[in-house]
Amino acid sequence: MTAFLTIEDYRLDIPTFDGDLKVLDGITLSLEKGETLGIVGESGCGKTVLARSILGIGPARGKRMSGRMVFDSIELDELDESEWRRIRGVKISMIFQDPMTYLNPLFTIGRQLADVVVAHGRAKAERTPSRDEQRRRCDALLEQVQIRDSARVFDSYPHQLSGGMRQRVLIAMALAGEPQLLIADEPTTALDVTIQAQILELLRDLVSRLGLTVVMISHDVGAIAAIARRVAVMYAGVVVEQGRTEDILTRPRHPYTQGLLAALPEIEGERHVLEAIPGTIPNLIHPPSGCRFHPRCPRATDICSVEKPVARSIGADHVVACHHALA
Amino acid sequence: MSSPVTMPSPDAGRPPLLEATGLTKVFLSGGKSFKAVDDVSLRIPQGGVLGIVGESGSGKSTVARLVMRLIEPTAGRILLDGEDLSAMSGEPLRLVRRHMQIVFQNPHSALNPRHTIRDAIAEPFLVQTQLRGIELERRVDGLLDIVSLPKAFKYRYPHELSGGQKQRICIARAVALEPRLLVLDEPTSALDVSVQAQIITFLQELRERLNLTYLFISHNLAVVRYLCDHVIVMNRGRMVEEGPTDAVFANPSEDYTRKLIASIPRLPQRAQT
Amino acid sequence: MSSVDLPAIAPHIPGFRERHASTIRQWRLYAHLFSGSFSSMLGLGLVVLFLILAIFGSSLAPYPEDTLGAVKLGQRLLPPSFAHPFGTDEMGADILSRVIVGARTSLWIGLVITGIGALVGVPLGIIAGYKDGWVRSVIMRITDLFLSVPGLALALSIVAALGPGIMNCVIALSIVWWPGYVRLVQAKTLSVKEELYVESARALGARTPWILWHHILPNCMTPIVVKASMDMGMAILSAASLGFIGLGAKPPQPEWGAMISVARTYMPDWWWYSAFPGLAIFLTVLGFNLLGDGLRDILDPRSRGR
Repeated sequence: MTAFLTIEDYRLDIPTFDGDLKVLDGITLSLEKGETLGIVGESGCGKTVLARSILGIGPARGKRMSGRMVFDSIELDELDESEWRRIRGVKISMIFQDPMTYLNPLFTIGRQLADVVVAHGRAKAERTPSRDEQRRRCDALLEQVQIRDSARVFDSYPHQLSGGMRQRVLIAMALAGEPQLLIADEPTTALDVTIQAQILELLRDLVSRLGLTVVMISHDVGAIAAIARRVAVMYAGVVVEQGRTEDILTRPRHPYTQGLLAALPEIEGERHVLEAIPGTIPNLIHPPSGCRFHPRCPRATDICSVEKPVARSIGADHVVACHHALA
Repeated sequence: MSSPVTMPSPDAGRPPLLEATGLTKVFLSGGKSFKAVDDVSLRIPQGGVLGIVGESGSGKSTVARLVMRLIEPTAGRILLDGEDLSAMSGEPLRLVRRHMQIVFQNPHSALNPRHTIRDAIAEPFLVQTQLRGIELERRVDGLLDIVSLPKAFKYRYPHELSGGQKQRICIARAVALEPRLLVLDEPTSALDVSVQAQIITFLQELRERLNLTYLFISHNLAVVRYLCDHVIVMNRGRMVEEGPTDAVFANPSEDYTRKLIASIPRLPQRAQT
Repeated sequence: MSSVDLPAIAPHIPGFRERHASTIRQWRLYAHLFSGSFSSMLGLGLVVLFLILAIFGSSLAPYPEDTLGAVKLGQRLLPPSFAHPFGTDEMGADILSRVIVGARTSLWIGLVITGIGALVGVPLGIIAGYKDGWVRSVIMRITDLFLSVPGLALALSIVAALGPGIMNCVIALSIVWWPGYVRLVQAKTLSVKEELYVESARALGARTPWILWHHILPNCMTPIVVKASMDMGMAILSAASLGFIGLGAKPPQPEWGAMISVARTYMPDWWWYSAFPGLAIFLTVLGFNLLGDGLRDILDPRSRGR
């Protein structure tokens, strides 16, 4: 099967007053159609910049230094703004952490949803659908995100809905253009655990029902584990390990992945001692030489500070970028 | 299993360090009243760690602010080491504050952006004690030591520090005056997991080292399980369930608690490394 | 509690550069952002030129005696020439000299009015923002009362009551100037006092004056500095307006507004008489406004930590 989304050796710098921030350092990822990829990492690892770059809404001053992104045989880096308009929301959609900031507080949900429906109709050069037609499509969308009392939601203003409802509405909007790829940037982070579980359930359902391909970004390993078939672990602008979720979580091979998992408190079972990763995330203006994790790594040796480890395959669909990946 | 804290035999004769009974807070806005906290009672013995868990809107942070007397309770009594805080105001309340301190959820906004780290850590001494000059600098250095941060941070500004480092500064401020009670209002919620682990481990050490008593507020059940020996579950301003942490987590007696625990995504068990 | 005991070693107090490294970096960033904007630099240039004229005016003026009321009837109303680049007035005085020396009057007027406005307005604004209830109501209603009357009209009637003269003019404008600061600072205080670090200071047991001085005021400074910069220009313009209608400085004291006031009877044939003092007012006000805009851009918190 050919890859649906391919990112090859993608490098991105953001110029700042103090120097260039090397936010993405040679990202290589691929994703097959209908697959759900989780990108997990802590703040500042570049996961959000990466996700936004896929949609062409990366940092305004960002400079691509090398690499390419190919989606469905479209070279994303060569699109101009008018071509992007036929991709964003149509082929690739995105949902965000805080739904409230993406909804206009002055208009009802119905009005905003109908606007999206009409805009997509226009993009496909259809004539503007009638009121009834708009309403019918909106109801269908709300039903797709399992909103049962769509009549009430349709006439509500954003502040009258709960956080979980707002996120459902945002997902409905993202689905309006019938996208093939959905990028979810921390979609459950702002929500309570019980609501979070429902949204994750909804996303799983959409993947199986609509055959959506999903890239989910999160710092929450639990949320990623609940939804993603494959996981990529990012640290300081580098994908340090990727593979099947099951493999990564049960047999992590990169010291950072191991550290991340050992730092998680568990809700059941034996209470292991929480192991913190010593030190702090590096300054990406002057990132550590060689492996970017080496100053904090328990297994670091001389080579780690000199040579950047190449991502190598160490099993069926399991890639690690480490000189000392343990079995 | 650690021993439950309500009935600790060595403490049985001693009054609890913190005791609150019938705490109620009604907020008035736009002519409507809203009961954020409804008849909450709690007690923490000297050296104990009580956790309050709940989702947003459960009133758990309001309880923290009530206990700290940062907001006025509508009803209820708060006793710190037998002293009635709810009856205090003005100068006596200001002076009693050195015995109880709070660490907030968001370290990014809990530090004045225009103050250096030195100013932030010196502030408790400047407002509560007569300590000045070289002695004060020495105390600030000592506190940076306690929270394991380099002395060079003294002249930095908050925006130059990471979230975890800022939270350590907030903890240094909170323990500067050697309080007896430390209220921790979601101290790790704004932090990454690896940093969260650092802070939790550090808080555990600090409690033993400084003989502190914690009231720990969190929405993260797993974190509460690691840090607290006794837990209260809150929902919509009311106490749903309370008991020793291990008992509540292993055998929740209320549906709400069960639902809360079941909602947490589980990870496949890791192979031993 | 032995663990909090003092470390035996002496406290760590590094050198000046190390202590202020963050501040130095911040200022370099400000300078970098500021110098990147043409209009900000133009504003700064105009303001610096104005300050130089105001400070060294009497030694820079080619005919200093002309600013003290010398009468040279032989050279009345000469057009601009090499000897008199701005021409001369009806007394034969060199307009360039009078414009240069007028800068000091304008600077003085601007500083006093803005200074009194800020000194009265900022504390009232902070108190009104921090305190609830009747304190806020009283301060804000009095402020509203002042703001509901056009400032210049009010100043006009005050000068009329006190009698014309530059001192009375400054007093009158100071009286109408402070309410703007109250409004600005009160609004800013309302948002700053909700910040977590203010609650944190309260939890430490800090007294209200401590909180106002150490937490509220420093975080209100940005809009105050920006407004003060713009107000310098506006105050100079207002004083010139009072001078223009004959309520400000009296000739022969060189003041731009008063010069235009006299000059308007010589329009349009002797245009240079009013044009150059007018240009001086225009450039000064423009300079302070551009400077204020530039300061607002660089002091914007979004530019922090960039």
